[in-house]
Amino acid sequence: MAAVPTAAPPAATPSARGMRRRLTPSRVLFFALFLGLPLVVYVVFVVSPFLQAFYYSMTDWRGLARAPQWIGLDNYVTLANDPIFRKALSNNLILMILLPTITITLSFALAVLVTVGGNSRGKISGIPGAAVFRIVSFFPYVIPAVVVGILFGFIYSPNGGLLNGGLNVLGLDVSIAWLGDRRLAMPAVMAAVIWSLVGFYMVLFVAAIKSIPSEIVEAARIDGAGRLRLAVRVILPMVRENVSTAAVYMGIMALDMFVYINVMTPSGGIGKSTEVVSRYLYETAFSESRFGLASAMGVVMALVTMLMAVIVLFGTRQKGDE
Amino acid sequence: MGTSPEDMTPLDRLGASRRNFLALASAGTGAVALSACAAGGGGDDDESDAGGAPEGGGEVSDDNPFGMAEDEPVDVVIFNGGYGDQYAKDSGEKYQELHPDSEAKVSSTVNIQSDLQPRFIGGNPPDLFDNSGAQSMNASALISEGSLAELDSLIDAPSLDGDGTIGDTLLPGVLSPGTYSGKLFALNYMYTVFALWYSAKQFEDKGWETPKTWDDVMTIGEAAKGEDLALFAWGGQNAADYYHELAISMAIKEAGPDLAKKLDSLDDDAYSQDAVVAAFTAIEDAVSAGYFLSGGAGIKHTEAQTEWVTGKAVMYPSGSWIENEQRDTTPDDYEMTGAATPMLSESAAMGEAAMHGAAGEPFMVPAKAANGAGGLEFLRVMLSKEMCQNFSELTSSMTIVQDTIPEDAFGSTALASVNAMTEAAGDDVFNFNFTDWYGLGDDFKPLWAEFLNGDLTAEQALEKSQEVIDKVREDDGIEKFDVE
Repeated sequence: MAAVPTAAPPAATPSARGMRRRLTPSRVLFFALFLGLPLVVYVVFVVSPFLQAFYYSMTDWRGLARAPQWIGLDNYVTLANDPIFRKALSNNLILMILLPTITITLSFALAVLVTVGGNSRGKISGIPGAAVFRIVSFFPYVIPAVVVGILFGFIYSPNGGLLNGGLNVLGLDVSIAWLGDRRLAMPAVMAAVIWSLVGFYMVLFVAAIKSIPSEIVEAARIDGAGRLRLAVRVILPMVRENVSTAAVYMGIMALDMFVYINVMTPSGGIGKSTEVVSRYLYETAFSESRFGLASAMGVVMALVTMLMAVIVLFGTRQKGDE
Repeated sequence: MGTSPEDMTPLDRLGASRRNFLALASAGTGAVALSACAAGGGGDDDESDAGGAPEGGGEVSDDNPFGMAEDEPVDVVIFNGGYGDQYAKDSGEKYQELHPDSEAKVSSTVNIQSDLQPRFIGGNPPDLFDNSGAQSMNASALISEGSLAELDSLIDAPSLDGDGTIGDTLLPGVLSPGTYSGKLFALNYMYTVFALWYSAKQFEDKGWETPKTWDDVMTIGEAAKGEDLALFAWGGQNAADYYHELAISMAIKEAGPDLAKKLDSLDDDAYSQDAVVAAFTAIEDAVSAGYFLSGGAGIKHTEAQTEWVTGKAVMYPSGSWIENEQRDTTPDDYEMTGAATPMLSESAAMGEAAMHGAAGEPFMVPAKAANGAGGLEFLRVMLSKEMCQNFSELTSSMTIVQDTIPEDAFGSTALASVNAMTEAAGDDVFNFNFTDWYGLGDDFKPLWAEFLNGDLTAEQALEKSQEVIDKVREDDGIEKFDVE
């Protein structure tokens, strides 16, 4: 910036230099184009719907003709007293803990296997066939969530489904309604989600592990670190940023889950065992036409999501940066 | 519906089309509905001509009861869903025969709303459209904006078959779902009968009689159990409420139509009525006897119905759309047949033949249609016996016009039984509306899934059902419908 000639006299104090710079038309255009335009787009399409939803959450708006009436925090009181909403929220929170933990652990383990999990002597390499595994395990991610849901719906079918069929072949004569049992339904949905996402996070971690200087891994190996210790003590701390990013992404997904739940258990599962806020919100808004209440649910979820992101990002940052 | 369109059961769709219409009570107070926002400033807001009967400007005669201009084309848009669009094309040809100078343009779409909304906003709507499907237009918005024409003149017009007015030819009660504040805005063309469906062949093979009472049903259940068959298939993920329909219908048959009025008015002891308790208890007996197909809680209606027609279960309660819906999976010699809702006791108030029937598939004429009279004339053609028979032959479904199904019912045992049930019932047709009016499907589906799974007793299910309607009644934010 110092190289840009200005008309200001040399006597001007350096700190005030930028402020006194003249607003030439080209500078105005620059600001308008690169700062103003994105800001306008952001305000119109991101901030204003947020504020609007917040406003609607304080009204009894029914999405129809009648003008919304201001009812203050009544919707939030209704939600706090609604057992289904509480069940949905707690399901979301359980998912938020379990889904990222399981998915990231699994995908990190796989990533280690295909990068440094091979023979512990000689050149650092993955297990035999690592290249094939890397490609194959990415496949499920390519399938859209809706298709995954429908697919697993068939797999879990109590009569003639693949899973029960497999168990029958093993000699267990069962006809379990995987998605129709209140204890099994949620784990069954989670298994489908994990199956579809593990490959993606594995690829993410593989890239991160590849960027670790090989000298460090080699040095650790020479010092006698086994594969497990290498993975947990050396590699994991070095890909910490990737793990925390993955955790935030997975957490946000776990707080949504709309597609999987709506496809696999369309009314929230038996006894609301798989109910999540997003599906309940959809039902409240588009079936019961209670947009005010649904907006309140949206606001609650937005707050929970932000809180989760802040905790994860700051939590992992502080550990190493002090 | 809380479920996405592809998970909607036909029962949901029927309910949604009825509810959209009936939701008017809350939107009809002169306020402008949401879709008006999208309309922007387009079109003139000439409220005075809205909602009136279409006039054509041509000469009125018996061959042209609406006075349509004989040289104007008529533009018809059909929803190309479960019933296809061939029936409308055939009606178009018939119309052409009668009015050679008025070109009949019949087009079809699967997305009524996205195709027609711009045309309504642009002021060039079609002359007649079939507002059906998951993407249909919000009828309450259309009417509160005065975008629809009244169809009453159609009912008073002479039938094409020369046997009185069109109104005379219709089945009882079929106009009520399209009537709002005494004015007819939608003609529901298709007629649904709710029944208990079974394979006549299987019944003959096993020597079972068509059940008349719930005891008969239970007897068959016991016999079926002996052969390792379930009595009932059920789709607990999205269609357990089919059995709610069965229970309420049995209760209405037992105690008479007044029972339905108490439910429709969300009475605070609606679910304590003796017949309702008896109906729930009857279902509970079947559940505890193990007559429901195991694993039903984990599947959707499509899968449940496939298991039923492939012989894993004996009976299934549903509307008469079931034959058409299951056509691809039903064995050729299945002989699907419907039995009217069973009676809870021999002394049922409404008698053996009474049935639950409802009209669906709403046809509407826009108020600003260029040739609204032509649209009415097209409907008159569709309501002729010839065209109704054609519809039934193509879709195995019944229209709202009487006596249009021949003896052999085009080889469809299901349609023949629908026809027989309708004829036997005569005026003994009942209906209930509260689930559609207040959109309670999403509340009753999970409740009934638990009930049919054996997780709730009849007493608990009744209590929870009462809580559902209590919640609606006590919510001042929900407009209540008047029960006649």
